[in-house]
Amino acid sequence: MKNQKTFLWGIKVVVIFVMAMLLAGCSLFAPKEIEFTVYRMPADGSETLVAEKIQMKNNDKSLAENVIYHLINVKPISDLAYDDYLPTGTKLLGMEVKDGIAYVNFSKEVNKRTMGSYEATMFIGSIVNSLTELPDIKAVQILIEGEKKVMYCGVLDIEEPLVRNESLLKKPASN
Amino acid sequence: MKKFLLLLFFIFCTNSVFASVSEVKWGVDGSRNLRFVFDLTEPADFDLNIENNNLTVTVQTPFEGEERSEKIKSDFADEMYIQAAGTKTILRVPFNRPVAKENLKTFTLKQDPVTKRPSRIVIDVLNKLPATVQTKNVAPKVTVGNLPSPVKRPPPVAAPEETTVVASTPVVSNSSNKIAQIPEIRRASVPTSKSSTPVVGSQPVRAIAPQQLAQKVTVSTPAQAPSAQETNKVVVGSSPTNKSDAQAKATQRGKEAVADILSKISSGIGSVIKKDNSQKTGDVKQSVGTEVAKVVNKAVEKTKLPDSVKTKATETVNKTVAKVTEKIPPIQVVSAGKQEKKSTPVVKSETKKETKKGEYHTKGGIKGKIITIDPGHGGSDPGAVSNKGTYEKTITLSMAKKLKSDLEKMGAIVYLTRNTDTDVSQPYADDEVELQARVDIAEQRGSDLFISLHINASVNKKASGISTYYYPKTGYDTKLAGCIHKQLTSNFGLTDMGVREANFYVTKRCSMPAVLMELGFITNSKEEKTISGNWFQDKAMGLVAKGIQDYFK
Ligand SMILES: [Zn+2]
Repeated sequence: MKNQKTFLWGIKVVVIFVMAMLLAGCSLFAPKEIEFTVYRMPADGSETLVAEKIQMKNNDKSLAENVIYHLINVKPISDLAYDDYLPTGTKLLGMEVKDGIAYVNFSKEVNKRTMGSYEATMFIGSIVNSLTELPDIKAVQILIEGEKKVMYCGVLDIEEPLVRNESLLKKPASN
Repeated sequence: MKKFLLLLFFIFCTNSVFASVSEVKWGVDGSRNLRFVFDLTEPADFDLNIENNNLTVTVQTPFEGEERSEKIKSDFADEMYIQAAGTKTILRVPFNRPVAKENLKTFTLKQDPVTKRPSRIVIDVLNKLPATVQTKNVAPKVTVGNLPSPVKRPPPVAAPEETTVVASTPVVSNSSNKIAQIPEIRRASVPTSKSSTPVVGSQPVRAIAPQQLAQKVTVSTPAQAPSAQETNKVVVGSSPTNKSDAQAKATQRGKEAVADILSKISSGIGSVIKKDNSQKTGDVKQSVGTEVAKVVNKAVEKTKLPDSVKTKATETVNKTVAKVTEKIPPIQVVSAGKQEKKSTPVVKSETKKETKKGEYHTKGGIKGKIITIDPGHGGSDPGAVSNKGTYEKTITLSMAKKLKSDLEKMGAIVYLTRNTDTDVSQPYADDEVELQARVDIAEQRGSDLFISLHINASVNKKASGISTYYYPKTGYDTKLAGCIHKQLTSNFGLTDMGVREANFYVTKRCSMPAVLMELGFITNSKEEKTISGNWFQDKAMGLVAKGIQDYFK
């Protein structure tokens, strides 16, 4: 029965080999350039988010991570966008996409917005709309220090994953 | 372990050395209950005594604030005295009417670094006796951290698999005129053995460490997948040193079979890759594994090997695939495709289920319709505050009263969540508790509509205008927002910021159609002047009432 054993080993090697080829191949098939849109908080105090199309070299980050990184760390191209994005001291602790939901984990300082609901609404709208622009993200769960919280800035309900908010992309009807 | 013990020791030391009372505050709620709040840097023990109708609360830590007597606007007392007595803090309140021990309720709150709430001792002087008075709560000697917090929490709404209720309760959301200052927390939260009250329902969602994350998203070449051991074995197997002819023949046959399988697989690879690309994103190793197993097993099936060998081969294939899949980290394929705008959010219907199915009317005219108006903030929470010291809570209450009278003239039955400058739940309550109390009123009244009035604020001083927010939960929220906003903006000179969808707690959690209106910016000096005036308030509320009338038409 030795030959049978040999055969089985052969098959095993083939399986491993093929899988290795394919999985290695995945990186080869990744695009050289990536393209995404971020929605920035507006500078004019209006409630229409400012869209910014980004084209950049591919890197080892996922698209979702690139989106968040851009929102937080890269200055807006247009001065129509507000560039003081995160409350002072806020850190992005992590980000993961699972079952169509992007989990964005901020440090506790993210709650430090002292002003009214305007900034809170636009900030959440900016993150949720930017991320749900990606085809595989349907909703965004904001986490604070790794936990789901009910309230954001004392006004918004962030306990559940938040879905895309198209109303923040349109100008008011009467304008 | 040593480090851990040292840490514990450190925590213990800092706890006892640096604990102090940073502030003592008072407040009165809608039911005229009087509340005293001690803000502590660390949990501390306290005694409560009532003698000759004088309340004395002794907290076993030094007082860091200002010793003083302070006027109180309450039915129970006119003044409170705060004293620093060495390592103790003493609060004295001479009651001007008899107060029984049963009327005193105490509880403690844990520090919450996220909402910046310090540790607290809360003493309530109840106007009416609660239905169930827990004698435990009024025991003179109370150890902090052992009492359950009596703050009721709102019912969890439509939880996905991992529901997490916020781990902590009350927060001071804003400072008010009654409070000197919200004390700063000096240190980040230090878990102390004392304050180990278990919090129900807290189940933190996995925090994602950056390194962990990096590993998850990096596309790794699985060079390590076939182990050295396995490679060695193959080498041994394919070098026939000690074999009979028959065995050699069999081996030859096996080799041919493998070669045959390989050629079939190569044609199968194409389909696997295609599938990957169509899938675009997500963990692909699983799908690659399944596809490989499928192709190889198909190829094995087509060979002329005996059935027993085929079965074993299939088994080996499946096992190997499983092993490889298990050993390598998840692999994400980055999407290269064009991003199309999604106009219909998919999750909405799945994640959002109504917990309460209140009945509400949407047609037949405004007459007899029940409308709850919610003047934003109030009591211990002033809401937004302007440079000149105008409070949002003052304007919203004034507006709410005007709207009430307008709607009543149209024949509606109108309730306010508050009639005076007061908290709806309790002073210094958690935002969540306070807002749920407002929603509860609307539910209890069987309201057909819920209208929450607010004044906006922004660091951007240019920001101005009126926004009407809704949360599309009933199919009528959008209509309601549209009707009101249309009346307001087409008849007014104020900037139209638009009708917007937003996740405001109150509009999301109440079962009836609701809107939250931000009627101008208190931080815009020109607008602050406008919205504070009677003319604006009268006109704006008249138009809101008209919009509501349109909605019921
Ligand atoms: Zn407000």
